[in-house]
Amino acid sequence: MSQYNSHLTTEQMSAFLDQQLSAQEQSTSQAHLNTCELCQQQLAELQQTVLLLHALPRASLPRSFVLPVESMIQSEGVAGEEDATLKIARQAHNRILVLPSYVRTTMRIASTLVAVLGLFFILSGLLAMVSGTSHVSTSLEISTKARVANSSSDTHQPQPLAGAAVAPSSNTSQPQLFAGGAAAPSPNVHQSPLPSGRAANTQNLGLSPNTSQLQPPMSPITPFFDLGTPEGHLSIGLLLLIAGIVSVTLFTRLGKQGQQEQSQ
Amino acid sequence: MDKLARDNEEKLIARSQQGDISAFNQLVLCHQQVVYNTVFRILGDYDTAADVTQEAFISAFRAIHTYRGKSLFRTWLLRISTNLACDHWRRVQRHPSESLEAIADEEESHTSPLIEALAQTGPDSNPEENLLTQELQQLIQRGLQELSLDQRTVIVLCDIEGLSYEEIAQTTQTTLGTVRSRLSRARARLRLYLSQHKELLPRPYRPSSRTDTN
Repeated sequence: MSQYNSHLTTEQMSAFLDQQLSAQEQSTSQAHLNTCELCQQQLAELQQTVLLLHALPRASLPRSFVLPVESMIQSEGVAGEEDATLKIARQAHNRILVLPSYVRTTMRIASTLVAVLGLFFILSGLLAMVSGTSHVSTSLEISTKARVANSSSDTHQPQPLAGAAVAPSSNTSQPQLFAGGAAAPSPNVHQSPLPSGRAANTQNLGLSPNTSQLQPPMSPITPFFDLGTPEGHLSIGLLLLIAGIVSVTLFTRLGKQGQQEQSQ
Repeated sequence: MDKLARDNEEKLIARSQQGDISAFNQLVLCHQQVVYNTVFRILGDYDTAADVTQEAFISAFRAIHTYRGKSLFRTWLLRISTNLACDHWRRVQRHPSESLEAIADEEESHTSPLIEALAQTGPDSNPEENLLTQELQQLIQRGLQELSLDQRTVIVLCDIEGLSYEEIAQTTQTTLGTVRSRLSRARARLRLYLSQHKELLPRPYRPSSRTDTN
């Protein structure tokens, strides 16, 4: 009965809440609690404290704690076969994109090659523009003569002047040279891509239209990817150079990220 | 944990013991929430808790060959992580400069982590959790940090993580009696601490509300 009347200890009260007392202790405590208001109040306060702890929100994960595999290889010096397993595991599991170092190196080298190729194209395009002037014009002259002979057999209704006939024929001779004769050898076609103002211009220039015809007056899309023209060389070279530089920086940065993660 | 999950866990543990890190990482994914939350509640700082949690998983991977399956894997993990958290706390206590930094950090990020924590409590979480204001959460966390490390570890494992007395005894490598007494003292001290700041408590939680009405 003395147990029945004594207040619960702190430990009894806490264990009572969790039902961790022995069956007998539990029942005597319950009996005491039924009569003792002080213990009831203390128990209620204790319960409230526990409820508060239960109600605490879980701390949200700042990141995944999946192990960084590379650092484990370094720090542990694991055996070769484990090494292979770890590499596979890393490929399968790493949430952050970390390419294997050999892939990064290969991609960097490939990008550098692409950039160098681009430079080569640019240079060759520039060279063709600077030094190729005379060469192009002579080849033009040759083909022009052929075209003149050719077109003279055709009807040249739109241009009765001999000088004017040279001008349009030289225009088609360029795409013929570089685009492999895609344009049909009909003099009527010569007229269509030429703006009328330009036709007038060539007429004024008389018999020396070739120098002014170096830049092909065709539609601007064709020479952009046309390997035959210096402009095509230039633009492809530029494209390759930009792509090369972008991917070199990209893969270098990825490599640095990988190293930082390793060091972490 | 049902039998299937436990079988699966045993397989993953066996593979991890052979050095299979992908198997171990699956275990990490299963347990990282409970480990991180426990460490955070012991230390009271999100960044430090993240560092200690990561350290705990690395230590666990290195020591996994010593796991014999006598306790739950979670228990074993929690033993490693609570030990590391307590070590970290003691180290900071010994070096005031570090602790000053920690306090400065805490002051700096005084509100933001709790705002984040509140914002990130998803819709699937218990809506009751949202009743706890930031101030109250901070108050409880400060109250926890007033406790001794032993008491704090036990109360975090029991009343926040919901572990049984037996599991806590295994985690802390003590007896059931020790767990019981540490837990009761921790709860009593925390109750006292909270009652000193009862103006912050929501009405249903106020300890002396009964006497007020009487």
